[in-house]
Amino acid sequence: MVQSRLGWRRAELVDRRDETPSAVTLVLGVPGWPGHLAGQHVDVRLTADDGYSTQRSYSLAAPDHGARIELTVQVVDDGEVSPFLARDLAVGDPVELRGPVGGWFVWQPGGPQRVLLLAGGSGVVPLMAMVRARHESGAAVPMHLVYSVRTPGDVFYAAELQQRADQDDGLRVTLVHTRRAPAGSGRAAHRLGAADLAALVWPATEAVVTFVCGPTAFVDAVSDALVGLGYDASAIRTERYG
Amino acid sequence: MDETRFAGALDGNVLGGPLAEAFGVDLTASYVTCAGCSRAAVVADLVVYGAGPGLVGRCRGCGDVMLRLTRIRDEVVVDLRGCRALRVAV
Repeated sequence: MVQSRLGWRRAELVDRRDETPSAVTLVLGVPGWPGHLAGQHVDVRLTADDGYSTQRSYSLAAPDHGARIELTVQVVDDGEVSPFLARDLAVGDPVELRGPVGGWFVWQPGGPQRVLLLAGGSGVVPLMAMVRARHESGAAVPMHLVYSVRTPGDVFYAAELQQRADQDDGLRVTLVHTRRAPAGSGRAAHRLGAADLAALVWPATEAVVTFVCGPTAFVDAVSDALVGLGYDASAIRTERYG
Repeated sequence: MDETRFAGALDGNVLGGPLAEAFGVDLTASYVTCAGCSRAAVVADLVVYGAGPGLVGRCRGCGDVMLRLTRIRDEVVVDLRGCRALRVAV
């Protein structure tokens, strides 16, 4: 087979949905998109009129639906790329991207192992693709998403996550608040720690594949805590947003 | 190793695009062995600095530079001097 190397494609914004005051889901039309797996990302490239070019990686938020892909972009206030994508890009505008990228941080429905998903902030995006892929495939394998957010207003996909947790057998969604918890949550706001994880996750004796995504400090702390609980480090797949 | 040692760094998942641009296959799930400490890990596990045109991948075990990747005009230049082996599933 002659495999073409990964090249840049021209996509077009077809829709946008606000997730939080500082995050937006972009729906992009990508002619010739070859399909992708939950967990994969794309590289987005912006080029200025003077030729200056910069690129960032963004996770795919939805499973493969043909030539339409979804990215959820959290605005980084002093960022070069995310404010433009989240605030300025208008429906009909072109975007250069390449992908899908990644063969490590991916999950495919059909495996026998339980799936533990640990998200820190916008690290939920590729894990949401896995929640959605499980739903769309009808897979019955147990899946638990532990999603760490600063405040209740920072939750991406809030209504859909609630609906999935209510309707999808075997799916559990746990929100953990680090700065401000909702009234009556029963857990004071604090960072997800080893004691929280010990109470939340399956025992290490179960066969579990784990995906951890978020800021570097979150991913490293959570991975270390899981290994401390007896989880096999080689079955923990990680992706860090810096 | 304290947990803030690599704070602010990305990881080897971000190398997937530039490596696929050069080689046409995903390499993030391939194993590399550190020439410094002999630790083997998937490319996705590398500690990566520099979100621009140049990327530096370090060993998560000993911190040595394993890989440098730069885009220069129409070439991707990969310096692998810190990798003793690269294992690619076929």
